[in-house]
Order: sequence, then structure tokens, then C-alpha cells
Amino acid sequence: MDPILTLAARSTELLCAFSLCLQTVEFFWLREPLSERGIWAFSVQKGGLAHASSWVQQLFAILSKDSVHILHLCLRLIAVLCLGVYGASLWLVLFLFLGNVAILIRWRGAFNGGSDFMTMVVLTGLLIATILGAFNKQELGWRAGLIYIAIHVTSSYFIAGWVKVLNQDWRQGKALALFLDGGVFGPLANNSLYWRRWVALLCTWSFILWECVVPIVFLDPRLAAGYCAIGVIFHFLVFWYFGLNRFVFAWMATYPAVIYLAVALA
Amino acid sequence: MTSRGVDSPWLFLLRSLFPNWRFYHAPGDSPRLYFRYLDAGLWSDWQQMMPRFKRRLFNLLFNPGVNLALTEQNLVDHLANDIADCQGGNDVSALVVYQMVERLVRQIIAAEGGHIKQFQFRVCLVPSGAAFDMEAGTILLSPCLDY
Repeated sequence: MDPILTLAARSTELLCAFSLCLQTVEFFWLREPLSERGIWAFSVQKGGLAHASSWVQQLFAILSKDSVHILHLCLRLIAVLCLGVYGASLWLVLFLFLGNVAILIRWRGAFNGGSDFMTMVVLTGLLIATILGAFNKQELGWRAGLIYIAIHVTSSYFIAGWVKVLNQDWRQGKALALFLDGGVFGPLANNSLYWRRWVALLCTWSFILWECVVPIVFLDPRLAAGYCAIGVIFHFLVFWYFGLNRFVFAWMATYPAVIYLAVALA
Repeated sequence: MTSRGVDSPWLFLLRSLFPNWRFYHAPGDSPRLYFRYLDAGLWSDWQQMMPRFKRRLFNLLFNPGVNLALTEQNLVDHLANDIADCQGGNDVSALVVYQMVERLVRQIIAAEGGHIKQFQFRVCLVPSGAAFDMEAGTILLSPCLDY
């Protein structure tokens, strides 16, 4: 396989494994809310599966048992370690993909929003690569999988940027302070810098512009690498101000695909 | 089970397969959960469920508390959406998300201690950065529930 493609594929596997490992450890910690005493008790949740066939309901009844959930998380941790050490294989990725869907359904469709979406995008990319790999189309599979991931991650920044451009509160720099004020680390102090219009405008337009210019990553691999480096800082700041730690690693797992596509296009 | 814009229950449960990248797209009105409880014959004031945390660098790698709090707030958001979808006489209390929010309130109240006999909760739309009138902003007021 092309060495650049091999490097991108291996980096994606490692970063995805790291991201899934952190998520799995958190899910271990969060078993109580899914227990019968918890908010997400299956005795309540099963009402949301009333439309499903009886075997699907039975499947989720089994999956939601504490012992089965713990076993699933243990197997998932082993699978994640195998992904990091040995790389992706079809059955491994299929287990992680279906297991992740099952966990998210247990959390009523999503646990952490965007990071769940991006984790599924990366797992789908790995699934594309391994399915085609099973038909002796390994190189084509990885190319397709990485391109799939790259398209999604660039779309994510582009859409996230443009919806802010279209909103007056964002354009005027008001939205940032309002979201920070209502966030988990809020409320903002009355003398916070973010209430100052020029600070809010500067911060807001810095990341709106950064998000909106994402297509430039495909002009030159150096631009792609620089964009991704800023991306790490951006997601760290999102963690620091909004508490979204999973986003950092879910998006970092996509960066090898972005750089690979930039190299391929160059 | 419904959610605004997603009619199929399966589509809602499998929404992680259909990414939505519109993060923090507009401040607008935020659904907030308020609760009060009857303790020693007196009703407490209405309190807002507003978990706040201190920033710690360690949480970059392990952050279950904040992530759970954000997910609980998502339940309130979904309940607010479903209340809007339920207009026309449908019983909101039959919704799965309503029952989950009720459990959430029970859990919060349990942490208060005391001899609580009853509780009540309400969901309000709170405008960002503007004056808030609780009565006018209420979109759901639960009956008084036995604890």
C-alpha cells in the first residue's frame, strides 16, 4: 500500500482507538444512570422501543442488563486495544460499530451529541476500509474510508461556521457570551472579558472564519496540517469553556484523513 | 417518542448515524427545568436545575460528571421539543422523556435530604440575556407528585 496511505490509516486507527478507549472508561463510570435506579432505567426506556419488533425489544432487554452491559464494555475495551495494537479488521470494526450504535440507543440515541456523530463517522470510514479489504481491495478500501471521513469532517466545520454567520447574535458577537454564561462553567462574572464587545467579536469571528475556510485544506497538504494543528487548539478551547472533552479526540481521529486527502489531491 | 423534526422513532434512536453539525447555532430560548418540594409542610422555592462545575485539566481525559450533566440537560431539551409536538391534547406524561425527567427530578431531590413528601417540576423557556417571567415562560407544570 502507498506509504502515505498506510501512515494515514494507521494514525486513524490509533487515534480512533484512543478516543474510543476514553469513551469506554467514562461509560464504565456511568453505569448507575443506566441501572434500574437510574434515569435511563430500561423499564422506562423500553417504552421508546414499543414500535420495534419483539426480538429487537428482547435483544435490548438483554443488552441492558447490568452484567451484559459490563461484559460489553469489557469486550469493547479489549477490541479498542486490539484496534490500537493490531489495526482494523472487519469483525473488530463491525463489533465496535454495532456496539457503539447499541450503547447510543441505550442513551436514547446519543450521549454526547457531536462527538457521538463524529465517532460513528470514523467507525463508518473504518468499516468501509475493512469491508473492501475483505474483498482484497485494501488500498481502495482505505482510500474510500479516509475520503468519507475527510468529507464529513470538513462538512462539520463548514456547516458549523456558516450557521453562525447566518445568525445575527453570532455576527454581532453576542452569542458567545450568552452560551458561556449558560454553560456548565458559567455564569460569567459581570466583569468577564467576554461581555466586552470587541473581545467577543474578535473571538467569535476568529473561529467562524477558521471554520468557514475549511475547504482551503485541500489546496496544499501544509495548509491541511496547519489547519489541523489549529483544530487541536480550537477543540481544546471548546473543552475548556464548554466541557466537551470527547469532541477533542473524536475530531483529532479524523485529521489523518484530512491530511491524506490533501496529499492525494496535491 | 418523538422529537422535533424527527417523526420516526427509529430515526430518532439512530440519529448518531445522521450527523447534525449545527452546534450552538443560535442563543434563543433555553428550556430549563425547575423543581420544588414539600418538606415539613412547607413548599420550597422553585429551584433551577443548573449544574455548574469547576474546570480541571484532568477532565480532558476523564469527564463523566460534566458529560452526564450535559446529557441530562439534553433530556430537558427533548422534553421541551416533545411538548411543542404534543399540542392538541396528547398526554405529555405518557412520554418516555417525561418519565425520565421525572426521575431526574427525584434524583436531584434525593440529594436535598430532609423529609420530603411531595414534589413538583416545571419546564420553562428562559430567554438568553433577557428578563425572565417564570409564569409566562412555563411550557409544562407537573402535578404535585408523591415522593
